Amino acid sequence: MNPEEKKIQELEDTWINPPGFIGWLRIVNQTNIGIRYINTSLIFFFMAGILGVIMRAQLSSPGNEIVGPEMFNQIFTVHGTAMMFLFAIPMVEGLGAYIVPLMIGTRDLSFPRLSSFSYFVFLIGGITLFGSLFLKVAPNAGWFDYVPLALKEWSPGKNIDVYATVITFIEISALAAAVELIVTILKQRAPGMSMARMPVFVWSILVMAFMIVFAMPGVVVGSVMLALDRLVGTVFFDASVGGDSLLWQHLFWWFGHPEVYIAFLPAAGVVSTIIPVFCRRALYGHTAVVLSMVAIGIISFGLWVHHMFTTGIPDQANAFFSVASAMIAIPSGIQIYCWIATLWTGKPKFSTALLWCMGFVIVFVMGGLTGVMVASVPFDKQTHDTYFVVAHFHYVLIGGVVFPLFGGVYYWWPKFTGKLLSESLGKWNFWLVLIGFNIAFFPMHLLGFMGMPRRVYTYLEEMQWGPLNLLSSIGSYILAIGFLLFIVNVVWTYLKGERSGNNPWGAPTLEWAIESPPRNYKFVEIPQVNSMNPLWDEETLLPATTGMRTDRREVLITEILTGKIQAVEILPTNTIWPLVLAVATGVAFIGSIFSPWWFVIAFFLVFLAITGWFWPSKPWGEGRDV
Amino acid sequence: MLVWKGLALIFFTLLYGCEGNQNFFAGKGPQAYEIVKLWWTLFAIAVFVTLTVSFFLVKGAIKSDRTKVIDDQALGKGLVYGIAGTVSLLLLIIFSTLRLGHAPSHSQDSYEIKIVGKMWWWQVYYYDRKGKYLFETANEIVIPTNRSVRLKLLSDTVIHSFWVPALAGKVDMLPGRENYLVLKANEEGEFRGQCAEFCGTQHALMSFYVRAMAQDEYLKWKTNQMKSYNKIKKHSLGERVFVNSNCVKCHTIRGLGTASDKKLYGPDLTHLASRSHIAAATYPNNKGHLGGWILDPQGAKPGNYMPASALSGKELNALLAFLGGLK
Amino acid sequence: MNVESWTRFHSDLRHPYWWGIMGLIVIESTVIAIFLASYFYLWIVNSSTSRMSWPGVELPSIIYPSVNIGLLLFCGWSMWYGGVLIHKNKTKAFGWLAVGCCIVATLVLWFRWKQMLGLPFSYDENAYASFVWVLSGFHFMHVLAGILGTAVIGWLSFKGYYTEQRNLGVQIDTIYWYYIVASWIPVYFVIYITPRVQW
Repeated sequence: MNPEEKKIQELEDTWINPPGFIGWLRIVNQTNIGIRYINTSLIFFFMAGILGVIMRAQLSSPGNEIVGPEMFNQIFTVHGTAMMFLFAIPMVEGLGAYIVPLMIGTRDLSFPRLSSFSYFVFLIGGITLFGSLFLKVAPNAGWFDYVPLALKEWSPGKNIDVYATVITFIEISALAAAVELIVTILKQRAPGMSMARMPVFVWSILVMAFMIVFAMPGVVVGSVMLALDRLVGTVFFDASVGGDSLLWQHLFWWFGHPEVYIAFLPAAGVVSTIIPVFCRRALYGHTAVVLSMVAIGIISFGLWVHHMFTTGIPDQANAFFSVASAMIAIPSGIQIYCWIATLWTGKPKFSTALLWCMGFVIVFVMGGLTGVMVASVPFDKQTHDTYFVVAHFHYVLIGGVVFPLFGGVYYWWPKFTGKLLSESLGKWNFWLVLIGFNIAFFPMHLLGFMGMPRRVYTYLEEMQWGPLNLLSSIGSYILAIGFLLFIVNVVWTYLKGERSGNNPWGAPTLEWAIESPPRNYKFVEIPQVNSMNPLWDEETLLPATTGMRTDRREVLITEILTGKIQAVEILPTNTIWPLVLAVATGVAFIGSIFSPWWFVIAFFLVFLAITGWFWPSKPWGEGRDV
Repeated sequence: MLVWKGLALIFFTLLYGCEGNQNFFAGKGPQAYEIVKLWWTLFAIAVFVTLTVSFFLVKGAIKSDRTKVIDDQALGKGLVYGIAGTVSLLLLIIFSTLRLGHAPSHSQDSYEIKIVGKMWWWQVYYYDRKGKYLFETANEIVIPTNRSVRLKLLSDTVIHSFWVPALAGKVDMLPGRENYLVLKANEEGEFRGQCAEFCGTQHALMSFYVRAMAQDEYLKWKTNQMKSYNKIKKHSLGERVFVNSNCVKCHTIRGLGTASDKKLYGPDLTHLASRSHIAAATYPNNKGHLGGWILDPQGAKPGNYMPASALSGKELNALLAFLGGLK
Repeated sequence: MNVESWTRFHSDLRHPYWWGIMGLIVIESTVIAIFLASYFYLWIVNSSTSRMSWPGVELPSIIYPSVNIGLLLFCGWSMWYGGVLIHKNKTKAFGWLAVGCCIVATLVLWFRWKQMLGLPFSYDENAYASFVWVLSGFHFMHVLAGILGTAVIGWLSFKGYYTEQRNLGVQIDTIYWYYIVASWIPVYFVIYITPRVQW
């Protein structure tokens, strides 16, 4: 072997994934963890989607008896909780965990063991939620779980304790992943990649991660107060002794509103990535788009009371949040104009990924417009808690988050697997989803006008809501078939898909410079980056940084703003401790469903796990330790 | 041809949205009416924006003439127009919200009707204009036409929301808080309302009616409601069934018996026969439905707090006759 | 650019762990800020609607909490001084300092334990009471975590692991101690001092 081949072989060995089942549990490499997040999120998406179809079946005619009220209330709660906590957040974080290091030219995330830990915690949370549904003790007070219904007096069973536990797992998982993404993006970009040269998708993940850091503490405080009120008897929400049920709503929506933008911004980042590639020109208005995303991130923290317009809050307070909720349409609009401008002046190639992005624009705009409508306080007083709102948020969430994420999956599939998803199956997938979605959700606007409230397991025939509900249910079945086609496409591609090569789309960002799928070490040498679209502006990557060791995992550390190289740091290799800590965490919170003492016991288990995690392994010579 | 058929289908589907007995387009009260007007402004803006964006999106994607060079500076001008347009539309929305969405509300210092949200029905108390308590009823709120009536909305259970779309927007009922709503009906009629905040197992069937009647009829109704049940006669079988079986544990009939369960009691039945519906507006108030409800409330509304009653045919008939007399 | 000769042993903000611990501190500070905001929210709601007088219970004594602030400040100082020692390669001295910090912090826990058992109200009496118990309890948990972590650091230092070159763990632990101390001060001020002042 020549020295070059020897170096690559050493890199392979250093970055190897250990074999076997225990080996699989010990992996910390970001592409593996990222794929796990994406796969698991998509599985939860489909499971929550099935729950949606069951709901639609139950509501397709008045007085239906497919499920009774107890089960229906669990189903709609799990549907919402799973979609928001087990799909939206983990999917965008997982996509970030996979793509961001490749796009910024580094070999792994900054805390590989933490990535593994947060994945396992997410998995434990998801299994707990769906497990509780199979055991018929799933949360049943809605994904936003208002008190006092959620307190022990009105919900004496274990359902709400499961809820508090599950969202605690997701809080921990999401916060850990957010910190990691921030540190990776700020400190590990390839030399020369200043913040100005950072791709828009990376910006969207950075803004999203900061939003998670500041928004999640709201629901952390709320869920802690709820758990303590239920478990030991504190009285944060009891109005007769100084508590207040509105406190929960403030805490929850402080998180809940930014949460939807946490899901939306990376999706918008995906659209900003895909449209330029398939229009074969750079994104128009890159700076405007980035600034808009930052603006959305900040403004979204000033909207939360728009979920509470009918609670009796003074008019002046309502007015502030009403105006802010309308104003956020401006930065969203700016992004849309930039995308249309890119399309207008480019040479579009209609791949499935681009179709998803175009569908996104129309559906999201419609959803955004109904959003501006419900931002108006008097109008909201009629439409709040009705099917009009259900229509609104499905338009912005499915249109604004699911469509771009599926576009992203079609776009990055070759990078994940080395194969191309079938374009013809993809087009059937897209069109059936688009049509099914509109048939399912458009009639819900009308049902809202007709007075149909949310979260009802049935309705009387005399209300005349039957026909529109039936239409909506038929639409949901078409939508489901559309999504099933995605699974068909995945299976077909696995069996017969064509190989893609490194860069099938001719895209400009760094992840397409390496193999599809990437080797675990990703880059043989970290490249020097001199432009925003490195693969379009240079024929080959510039002379790279040399001197990094191949017998242990190393990454380059660069300055935050300029991307100037600053240091070299060592990353840990495969280890079982993240799983151990995740299990200890699981003991703490699943145990607390039954007794607070489990939390105390688990506190010490967690300490032992953290000690094991960080314990330096001998020998302690230069560079052997982590 | 197919396109026209499709559009016609969509049009008639949209028209269907004006149907139904709980439709907020009815606009039978000043607040509701103003909101309907506001809606049309918002709708017009929404249609305009959707069509414009869709047009530019699709045109941008499929246009074949790409030889004409549109440089980024020209696009920049377009962006500025776009932003200016968005801001103007938003200002229009905000302005119309402030102007159109509010109904004039008459300030009255006292409230006439207090409504308490229960698990899964509405407890209604009436007061005179000086605040003196008059009587209690349930699930049906009667008001005079063309006069503002102030409601005080409370809950001693979980959060509920009082919503009668034909007359006004909704107001939540929260434990520990007092919220108010001014209702005014422009004409006589029966307006259906429903709880609009998820409140547990039977949230779906927690509804009520607001009945608006002319002033003199309203006064007659009120006077009648204030009367207690008169039991000078020897106890009829119906009365005895009511008192001796489960009924009186949860249901008060003034003059006959008071509910003993202090937490999970049910609606006051003193003038049950004067109401148009039963079981929180779920069934019309007639012998058949009432009988079915009494025998099997769990079948009708699984999970609600009313247990089944084991009554013989004779007992049930007597009870129904008795209840039918509670006008 | 060739980085072969560069050291891999930074323990300042060139190392991702420094940013990581800052991230944790930002998150936990936000949690505390929101707890304190909730406290003020309930105070305002109760006062403005005359629902309940605030705090509505006998005020807890401030002796133990104030003594604890002094002890906590000492812990923070001792960890700072420990960092100085480590940079001079005095690893055994650092080990003893870590032990001292742990002992003082244990004293803090003991005082707090006594204080909480002697509070004139239980946590379910009213919302103010819940706040005092919960905030004191969470801080107790964090001081305990600090003691356990510092004990491990001290042990490793005795074993010779931490040197003037390799001391990232010491820096992280020290930063977190600063946070444990600093975060208590606004909490102390809000739950013990503000109810005593006539606003």
